[in-house]
Amino acid sequence: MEFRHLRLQNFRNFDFLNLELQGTRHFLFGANAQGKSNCLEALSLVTAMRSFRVREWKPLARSGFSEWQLRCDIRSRKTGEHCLELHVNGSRKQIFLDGDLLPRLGQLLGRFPVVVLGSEDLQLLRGSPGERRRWLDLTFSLIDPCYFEALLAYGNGLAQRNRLLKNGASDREIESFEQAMSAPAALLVKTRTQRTAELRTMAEDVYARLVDGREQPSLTYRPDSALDDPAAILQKWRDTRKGDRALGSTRAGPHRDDLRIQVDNRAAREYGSDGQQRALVMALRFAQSQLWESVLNEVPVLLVDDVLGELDPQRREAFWSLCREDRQVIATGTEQPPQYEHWQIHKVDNGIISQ
Amino acid sequence: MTPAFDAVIDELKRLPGLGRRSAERIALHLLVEKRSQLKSLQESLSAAARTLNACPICGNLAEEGGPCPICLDPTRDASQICIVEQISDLTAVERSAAWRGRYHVLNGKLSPMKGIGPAELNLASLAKRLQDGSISEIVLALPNDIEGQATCHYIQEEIVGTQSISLSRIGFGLPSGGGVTYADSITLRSAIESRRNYS
Repeated sequence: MEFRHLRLQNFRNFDFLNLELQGTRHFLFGANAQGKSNCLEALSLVTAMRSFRVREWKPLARSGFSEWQLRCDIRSRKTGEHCLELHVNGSRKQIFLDGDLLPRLGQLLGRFPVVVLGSEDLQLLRGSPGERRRWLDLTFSLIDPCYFEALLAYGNGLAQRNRLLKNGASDREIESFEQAMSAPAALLVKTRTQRTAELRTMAEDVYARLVDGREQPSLTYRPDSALDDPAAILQKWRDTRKGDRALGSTRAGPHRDDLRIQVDNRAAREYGSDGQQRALVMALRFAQSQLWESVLNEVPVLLVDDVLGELDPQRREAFWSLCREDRQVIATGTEQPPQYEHWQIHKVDNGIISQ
Repeated sequence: MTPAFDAVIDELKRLPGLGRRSAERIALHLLVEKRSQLKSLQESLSAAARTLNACPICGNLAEEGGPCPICLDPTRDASQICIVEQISDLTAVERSAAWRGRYHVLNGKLSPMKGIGPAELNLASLAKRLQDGSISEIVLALPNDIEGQATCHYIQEEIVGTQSISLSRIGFGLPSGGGVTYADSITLRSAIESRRNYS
């Protein structure tokens, strides 16, 4: 896919933005805090209406405003030209695709894949298991609507079970919700196990190119429950229910899973050097992109937020070897890139972008 | 506008499915454009409020404190019960003309997050209906979501229990006349999972 045009109104520090994005190489440069990352953040929303920087939507509105709009013209390899609009007013969000209101987020997933390489990516490695789960969930939700549906159902069931545990409800009532949650829970564990194996092969290949094949990374899905069978999950919840009641929360299930990331059989989080960790995170992002491309038959756009300047020559070369010419790359930096002749350069200055 | 008009809008907005614009439209229609309709609406609402009640057997709409027309209908199979979440679900099933048994309206589904537990549902009268052993079949026509599934399971374990009653759940799949190509993945998955023998 390819962005063709971006319009923003009252988004972050943009009063109004009208940005042409024809072509596959765009570089936004400017001093810090001028709006470069804000621009990438707006573009990244088209994938799943999720910001790669914040969970809450309130900070996305321009200071003093509760209403903001985004409009993207996008060309899809599969389905042609599209116009995606997002109208936000406080907590009310409306998504329009080619003028038609999309009532469900699930109808958007998988249409416009965008991968973000950002300076905050190391959190994927260094952060809590929740960061890695959210990444896995986004990765798989985009290519598997049943996974997304199971994720919503499980999240709802979990909240209901936790409320029952806190309220001291009867075993029968709690078990009714456990029954309803068990099939989505099993589907999550099963899909994560299968898909992580695919991601692993892809990430290993990318990592070998980034570090010249000297080290062996590994990616292992660690299900908390280690169960992909509804009956076994039910038994686990039955066994832990007494303790769960005392805590008022559910201690076992896919919401406690983690992704173990290692280099040469040692945990990358504790033992990996800064360089190894950066290469690993980049490998994960490219693996995500490859997985999406293989399933969706759509080349994801790559948004590169202030990362290119940090790459040594070898990794920069590997990075570009991973970016085919038909992949749109939109990058940011505080200085113009050395190979600026290949880029369309956009100067960002206090919420105004000029070519 | 005016305090009296605004008070009407506020009341109308509290009704399900009505936003500010719809509320304004209805208020203007009744108070300005078609004022003659206001009186008949007032009268029919007052009359309905006086006479309508929940059917003491199934929870459907009934009048004058008695059972509903379906529970009184001798041509309906009294040994079969279709359990629905709300009265609008009952009318939808009735429109299909596919069910000749009777109904039981729960008036909701289990949802601890909304403070709805078994005590808030019309379950006590369901248990009472099953006591004399005259019910041989129950069809659960509850939504295909977590709350709907949990409610089905609760009814199965807590209300039906070990009684010899045939218990089934309606199928979830392709709409009639709908093609496979245009069905969403979730519906297709559901349709394939609930496939049946073709012979």
